[in-house]
Amino acid sequence: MIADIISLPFMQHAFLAALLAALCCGVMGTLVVANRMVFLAGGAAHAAYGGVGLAYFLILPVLPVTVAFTVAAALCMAALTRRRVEDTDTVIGVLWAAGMAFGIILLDVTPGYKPDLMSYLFGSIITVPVADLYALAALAVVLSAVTLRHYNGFVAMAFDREFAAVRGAPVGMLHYLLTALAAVTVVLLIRVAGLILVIALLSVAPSLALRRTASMGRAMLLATALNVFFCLAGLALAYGCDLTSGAAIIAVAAATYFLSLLPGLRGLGHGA
Amino acid sequence: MTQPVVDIRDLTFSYNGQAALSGVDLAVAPGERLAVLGPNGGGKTTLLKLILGILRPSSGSIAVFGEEPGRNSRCIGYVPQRLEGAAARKDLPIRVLEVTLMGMLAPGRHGFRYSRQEIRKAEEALARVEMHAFKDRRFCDLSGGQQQRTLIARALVSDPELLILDEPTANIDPQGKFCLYEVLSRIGQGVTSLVVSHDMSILAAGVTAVACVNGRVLHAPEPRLTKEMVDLLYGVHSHSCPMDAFLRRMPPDLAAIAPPERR
Repeated sequence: MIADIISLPFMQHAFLAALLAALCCGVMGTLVVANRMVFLAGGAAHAAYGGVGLAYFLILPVLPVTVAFTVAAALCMAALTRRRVEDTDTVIGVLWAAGMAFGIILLDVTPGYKPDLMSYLFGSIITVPVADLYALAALAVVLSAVTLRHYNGFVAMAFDREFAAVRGAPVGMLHYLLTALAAVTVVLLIRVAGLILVIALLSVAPSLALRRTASMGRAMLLATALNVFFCLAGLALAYGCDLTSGAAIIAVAAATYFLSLLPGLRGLGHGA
Repeated sequence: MTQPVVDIRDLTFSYNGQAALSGVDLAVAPGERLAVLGPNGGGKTTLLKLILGILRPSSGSIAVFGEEPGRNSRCIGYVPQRLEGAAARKDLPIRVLEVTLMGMLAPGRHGFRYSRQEIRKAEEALARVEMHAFKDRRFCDLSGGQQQRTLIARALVSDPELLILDEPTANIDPQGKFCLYEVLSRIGQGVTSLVVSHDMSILAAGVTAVACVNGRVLHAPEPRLTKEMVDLLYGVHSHSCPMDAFLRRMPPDLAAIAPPERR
């Protein structure tokens, strides 16, 4: 059966997309979870609808406009929440809703053919086009390079932002950089994997990995490995039982997450 | 006269329109070990954050090593009162050694590796606070006192010329054999230091001067509280108030509790 699956070109693309998504989400998700930015990533993902609406309204290519719009919205959230951390939830909630509404209103006032907004943002990993694989590969390279270059700064920022700033680390720049990267990651991956799957890959594996490792770097590697496992097991399950691929992957991830909460398994691998 | 390490002149700081500190004049001489005393909410931490450049004064001037605060961060070792959330979080995989190495962060520093020499220095700093045996443990798995000692090592690792500690005795483990006062009196000999506390026992940590902060700042160049300082800290009470009777026995000769070699 495995040979059957591997020989199908669309499954090969799906596996490749899954591996790249696993890597991007493993690295980015660890930083996002450690910096308590999962909600911000969710907000950016939904604000992306505003970008799709804007692209249709202005008759411009959808992906570049959506990426630019989402990064701008995410940077807005980052700027508004940087000084007053206690307002973070509210600001993100408002921009989350406002972004989506903006997109829908723009589509309403755009004459002619109205695309289904959902189809643009809820992609399917089984039907991933080759062009998106290249975009994902580029994203993986950029994320890895930026993380390696700013690793110590990101870790210090997650641990003690004020001290990092006192030591002269560029905390403000890193905060915006991380937010922008999270936004780009979310938008690109939504097209490939769908919104819900992206949030799952960004949050489940990293939160499992953070509790079981001794450094952020190892947490990124473990999160990537877990994501690869979720994706491959989920795709096999989807193929074997004829299920929706994204949902099958999330089912595997969620099952693993809840299993890990069982009392006997809780401390498993702790401090590894 | 040599240039003061910290030189504050006629400084005012307002927060939401309310003056938290006003009319502050304070000069900290090189090598001075200053205890900063005051009640909670009196402005002690605000004063430290102004010196560190985290906050900006509303009016007046402040110079650290003759420059604007924040420019000389390399020369300053800082121990915050508590970590905003990070200490309470159990899911941040950062080892004690890595926390200590954060003390060597600097502008323009990139990459993810620390040099062998830096790691050796971090291990030495951990040894000074008797935390070397814990260097590979996760910071979040430590007790409050062990976390506090790790943060002190993080401040010491860069060989600071000015050491700023905010309530370093707040998290001492009650039954710990480790004595923070002893370590505080040992570390930073010859280094200028500011130790903030709401607890007068900090005067036992070998300080050479006292500043009292409660909206205003009063400074004495010896570890002894003046009558005026006691009034600032505890308020003026009527003769019928039991606090007045208590305070009239003050100020105690706090020089008497300084370590013998400093008398």
